Amino acid sequence: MKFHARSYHLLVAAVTIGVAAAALATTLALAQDTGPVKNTPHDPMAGLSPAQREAIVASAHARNDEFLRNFVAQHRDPRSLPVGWLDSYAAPPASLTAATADADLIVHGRVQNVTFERNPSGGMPISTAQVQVLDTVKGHAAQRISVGQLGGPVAKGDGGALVQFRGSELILPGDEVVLLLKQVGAGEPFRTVFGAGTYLVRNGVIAGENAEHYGVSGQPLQWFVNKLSAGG
Amino acid sequence: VLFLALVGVGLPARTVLAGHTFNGGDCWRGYTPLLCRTNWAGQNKIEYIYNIDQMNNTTLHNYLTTAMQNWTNFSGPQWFSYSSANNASYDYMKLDPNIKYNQRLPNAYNWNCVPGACPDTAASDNYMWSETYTTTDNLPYGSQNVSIFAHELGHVLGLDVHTSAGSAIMNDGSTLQGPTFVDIGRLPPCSGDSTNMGTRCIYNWTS
Repeated sequence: MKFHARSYHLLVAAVTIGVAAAALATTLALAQDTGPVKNTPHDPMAGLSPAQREAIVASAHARNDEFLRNFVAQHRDPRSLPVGWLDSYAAPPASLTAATADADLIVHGRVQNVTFERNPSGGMPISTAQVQVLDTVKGHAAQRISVGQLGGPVAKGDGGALVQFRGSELILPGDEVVLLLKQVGAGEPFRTVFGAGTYLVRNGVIAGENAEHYGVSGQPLQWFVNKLSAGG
Repeated sequence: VLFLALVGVGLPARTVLAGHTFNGGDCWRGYTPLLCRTNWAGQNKIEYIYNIDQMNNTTLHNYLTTAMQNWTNFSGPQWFSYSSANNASYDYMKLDPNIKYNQRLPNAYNWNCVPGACPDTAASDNYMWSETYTTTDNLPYGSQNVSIFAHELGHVLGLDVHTSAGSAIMNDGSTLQGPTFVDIGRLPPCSGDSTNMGTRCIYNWTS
């Protein structure tokens, strides 16, 4: 897994490279002077019983749940949190054409509200957005649809973070979006096409992580809609 | 029955395995394989990486067994074996029914944890275990589940997503079923570009 805090990205990268360089220099120096390096094992759970380890795992989950519960109760703004990215096994579709073909529904809309719930499995929080449909590009949609994603507020140090999958940027209240969606099942929220399903509209142009991946960032909304209508 | 990866004092060199992502989880890019190597060299410990109680599904269990075997069979420091220990877990394989959502490829992800929260990337924190989430909804994908597990096991070993050219199980969405020389890394360990560093670098494997 790889996790980045967007706002700290450059700082973390700089610190990491610096630490790595220092570590390498130290390693090489030690290797020259004393032979192979044998560092103290880094195992903070060494010596703990299985039950004690289980308790640590459970406490971390509990802290995440508590953070999310308080975050929701206090009506905090998810945009106030630094974004953390997680990688997953899935790769994005090879092209926007493939993504368009994969989508059951493509809409232009506006996110009205988003709810976050704890994940019973202990994994990523569950996000459900209510989206007002402004235009339907592919398929048939009601005026208002539900869109589910994985991700949301989690504990991180003292401040928390908004964790989301790389390739599946969370949509948030007020966002104007173009969404490529999959129908999962009757009565269940739509799901974004993983790696290619979320495009933000800012000042009339397309933006966001997926837009950058497929080279459509900065293009006018209507140009993008026409492109999707033509099959991507 | 519990899977575990064993690192033992006095055991042959090939029994070395595993560890966790360190200080940010990236042991592949940005020269951090060297950082992991520095911190993990000479470790002797037991890593419990699969708790059958968390994923009581025989078919997925078998796919995971194959993925582990594929890592073990490939020349390098990594080695997986069974243990009879009960109710012990450190790294986990778990089910997350919420990732069933008809994604383009069967999906799974690693969720690394620290005592305070998971995930936490503060430089002063250390990842203490990783939880790999997958789903029984991936079952129709058949043997591609081996690819999923083999990829996620690579993260447990300390490898990040591999983005450079070349065939590797650590490429996102790889359909390989086990590691390649790209995942293991070139000789001598830690030589060349950081994107060519693999388990040989992390575990200081010089053969």
